[in-house]
Amino acid sequence: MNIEKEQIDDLNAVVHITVQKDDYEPRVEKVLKDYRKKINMPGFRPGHVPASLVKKMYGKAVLADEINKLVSENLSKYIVENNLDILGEPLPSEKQQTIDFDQDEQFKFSFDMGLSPEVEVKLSKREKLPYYVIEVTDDMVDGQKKNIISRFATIEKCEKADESSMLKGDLAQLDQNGAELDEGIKVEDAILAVNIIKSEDAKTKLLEAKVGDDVVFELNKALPNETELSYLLKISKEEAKNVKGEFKFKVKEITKYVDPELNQELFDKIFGPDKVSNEEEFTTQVKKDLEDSLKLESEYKFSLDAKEKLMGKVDVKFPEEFLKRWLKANSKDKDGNPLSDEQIDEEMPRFLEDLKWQIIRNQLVKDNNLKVEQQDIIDFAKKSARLQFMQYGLNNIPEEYLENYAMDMLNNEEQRRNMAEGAMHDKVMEFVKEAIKIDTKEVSREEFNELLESKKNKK
Amino acid sequence: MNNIIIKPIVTERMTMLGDTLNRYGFVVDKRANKLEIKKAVEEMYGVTVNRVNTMNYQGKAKVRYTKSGIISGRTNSFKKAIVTLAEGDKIDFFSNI
Repeated sequence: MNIEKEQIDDLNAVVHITVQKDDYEPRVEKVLKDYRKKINMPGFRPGHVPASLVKKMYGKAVLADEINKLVSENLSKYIVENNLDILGEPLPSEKQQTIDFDQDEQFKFSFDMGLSPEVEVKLSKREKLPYYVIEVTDDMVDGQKKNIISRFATIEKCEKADESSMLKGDLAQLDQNGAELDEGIKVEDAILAVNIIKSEDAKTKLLEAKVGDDVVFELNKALPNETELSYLLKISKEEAKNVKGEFKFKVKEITKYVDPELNQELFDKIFGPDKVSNEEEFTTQVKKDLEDSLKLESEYKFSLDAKEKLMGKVDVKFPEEFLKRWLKANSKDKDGNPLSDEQIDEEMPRFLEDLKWQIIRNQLVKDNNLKVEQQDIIDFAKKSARLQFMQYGLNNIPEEYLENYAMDMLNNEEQRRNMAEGAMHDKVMEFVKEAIKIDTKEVSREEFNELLESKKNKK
Repeated sequence: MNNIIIKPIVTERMTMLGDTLNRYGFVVDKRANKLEIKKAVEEMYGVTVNRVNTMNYQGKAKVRYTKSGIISGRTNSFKKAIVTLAEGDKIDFFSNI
């Protein structure tokens, strides 16, 4: 066995592996011996087939197989032992001579490798990056407060409808003379919400209605959306398209949402027992939660900025030809067909961008000994679990639930990798934040969104 | 005498002998002696023969009972040679299948 590296330039290298007979023979023999015990051949009892016959039949396949294994094992060993930082995977060289397993006893393989470029990422306090903090305005707090309170709203019956009311009653289709159609659509206990009614005529009529009144209006104008209509009348969407004419709605009940009073009971429901005791504290708590969730957005924006900054700062050269070949050999489109050259050319810039960021990040990690521990991954998993719950408006999940949920996520191999990746990202960002000068700027919600948008458009 | 080796013996027992003791069996011309057998095997397979053991087998009497009476006869007698090869040498009876 003989392995040598031929450096073509800084980014490309060819590794030649020469396999001698001594290297592969014992392994081939061993495999053949195993084969001999197992195969069934007419004319011989199992296990009594002459060795030479087995070799004759399977020798070549086994040989090719074993040499393949041997070469790939040694190649990866060589890469690890020599600390070669390669991109993608080694590819068989284009100059590879054809191999004749029948005749040759010594095989020579050549592999092209793309080497990872050396990058130097230096950060100092002289670098400046803005960190945008979104200003929490009173309007936002008020809106959030209202939002939270309305989540605990109760339904109360009332006599007269207003904009937020729901009306319950029987619907019946009418003919041109205003009499009920015998074979028309009838729905008992249909529920209409005033704020989804589109036509002014129906809306005013409904707002004036009292319990026990009959309201007549054109249903297909009041609800032009056939999905809503089909749901209300309990018919299919196709049928809903053909619904025409007037309907009579006999009001049986009017209900509306009433916001709960701000009292201790409500505070306990929202934030858990004994955390908030008066309205002032409630406001502060809401503001704090809001700030927390906005902080995440700030962080996100910062990570985008930092990424851009780092990407712009470091110039990385890639062995493009090699990567193109590698991409071509390894990627497939949705149907499992290999990508065409044009597709590869199209993908290339994005791929290189990602790769560049990865290299920069890895360099940062290596240079600064950043490590992701088990605990970091768990913390990150918990964080994302909390985020998920927050999306559903569940703010006060007990710690143990979160812990269980996070553990569940980590049991899934793929999710675990994502989490580790995310934790690593956070670590790097933390480091970047430490290493450079942060310029904190306070901006309003709209300005912040604009900043995000403009970035997206630039891309 | 130009055809000393008549055929190789391929049996389970001979396979085993070949694997363990490097011995191979042939049916040979009855008139051939050990030296001639050694020479013939060496020439034919390109190996070195260390030792040759020979044995003569008497043909068996065979009787067949048919419609038209009893047919009695005899199988051919033959000479069997077991050759031991030098270490490292090998004979592959299946190389030309």
